[in-house]
Amino acid sequence: MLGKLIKHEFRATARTMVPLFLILLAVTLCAFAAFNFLTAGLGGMFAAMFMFLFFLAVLAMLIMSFVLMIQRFKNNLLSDEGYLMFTLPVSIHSLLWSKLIVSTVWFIAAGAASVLATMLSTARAARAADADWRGMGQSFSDTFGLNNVGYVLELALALLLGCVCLCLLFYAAMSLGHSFAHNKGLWSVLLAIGFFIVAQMLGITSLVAVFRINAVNTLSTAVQIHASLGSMLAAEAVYAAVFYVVTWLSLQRRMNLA
Amino acid sequence: MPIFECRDLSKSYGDVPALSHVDLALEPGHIVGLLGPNGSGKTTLIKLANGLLTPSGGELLIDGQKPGPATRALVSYLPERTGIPLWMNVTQLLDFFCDFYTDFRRDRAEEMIAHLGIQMKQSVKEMSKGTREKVQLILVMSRAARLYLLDEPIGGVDPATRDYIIGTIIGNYDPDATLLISTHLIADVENVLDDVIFINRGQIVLHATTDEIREQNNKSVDTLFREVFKC
Repeated sequence: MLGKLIKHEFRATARTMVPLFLILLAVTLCAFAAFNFLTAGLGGMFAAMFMFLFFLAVLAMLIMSFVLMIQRFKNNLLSDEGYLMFTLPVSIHSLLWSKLIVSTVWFIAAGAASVLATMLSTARAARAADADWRGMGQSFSDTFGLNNVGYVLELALALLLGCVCLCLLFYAAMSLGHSFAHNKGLWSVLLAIGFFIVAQMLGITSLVAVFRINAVNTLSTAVQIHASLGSMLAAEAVYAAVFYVVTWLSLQRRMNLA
Repeated sequence: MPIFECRDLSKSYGDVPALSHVDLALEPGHIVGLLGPNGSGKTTLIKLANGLLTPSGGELLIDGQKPGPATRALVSYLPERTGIPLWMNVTQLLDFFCDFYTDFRRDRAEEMIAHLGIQMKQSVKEMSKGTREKVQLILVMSRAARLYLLDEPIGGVDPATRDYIIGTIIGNYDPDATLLISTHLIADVENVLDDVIFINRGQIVLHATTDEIREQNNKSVDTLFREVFKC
């Protein structure tokens, strides 16, 4: 049943996201062409305009993937559509996972598309600057004694868990906020802000603790960075678990459809 | 075994009781009217049966099980509000129901949709409120469910639509199934009911067959309802 929920969730969200990806592709191609073929006089103005449109398209896609995550949860589960969704022969876990997986996929796709589009549209500038990416990576490794692949994997995992955490923070705030009889929207916003502040405070405290441990133990730079990333991953996993339980309990015990 | 059973069931919203110590059992193969004035607890009882609310006390069982994914496969529920996604068109709605309900009879749904003159590519957003309600009813009644829970199916619609709705319900439900219709518009449904439950202030005040009511009181269900719930 999870697969079917994911299929329908993609169908619902693709209506918004696919046109945005197509717009980004079109604007990226225009920006690429403008940068390569229109460089002087009026052409330069066109190039600047396409670059501006390109940044707008990137921004729109990143913002929309975030807005869509909130909108789908609210409209599909906490409004009238909730009468349909919560009476399907599926568990609340399946409903939650389907939303979580699809939102995370869109976040990753939007992020990856933005990076690729930026690389494509600025390829000429990078070539002109004679950027030596491989050399930069090597000098980074030499300086910090890092295994670049491991470092990239840890960062990628941290980003992935960060996306999951972000979704679950808003899911928890909205599901708890909607369990109140009045001012559900206001409660949801206040709870989201509250959860965010608490998560940041706990994150900073644990990061400071990790730095202190690193300082006392005089560890190598590589180990210190891996330890910091590791503790960040652990903290994200704990936040995700807490927000998931809050969301699940709110929907299971305190559901309050209109 | 009763298909629908409440044992000492209670539900409160904060300090306000919505249902108080309800004991009720419905056997398969009956059309039951859940009749009561506004705020009497009808919707709360139906929401509890669908797992949309959790009881404050006692328990509610569907075919011997607490409400959950397994019981939702047996129950076809028509909510008071229109819950079908506005962005979907009719084909997508039918695909959705086919995917999740193994008892969904697509051919029957398509037949009823065609009878109403609705295009398969028409989105729910483009439909009038009345048409959306009819489409939702068609989807609910196209399932071969064991228990139908219909919450105010004829509330707020014109008499012609009421006739259409009642005709669709009676023409499509499985005779072996139980049909629970919540309403306060008694006269429109009285003739199709086998059993009647009067509910007031969260308590069952009467549970009898329509024949018993007519024989013992020499009154129609509608007349008795007006007397019992006189303001």
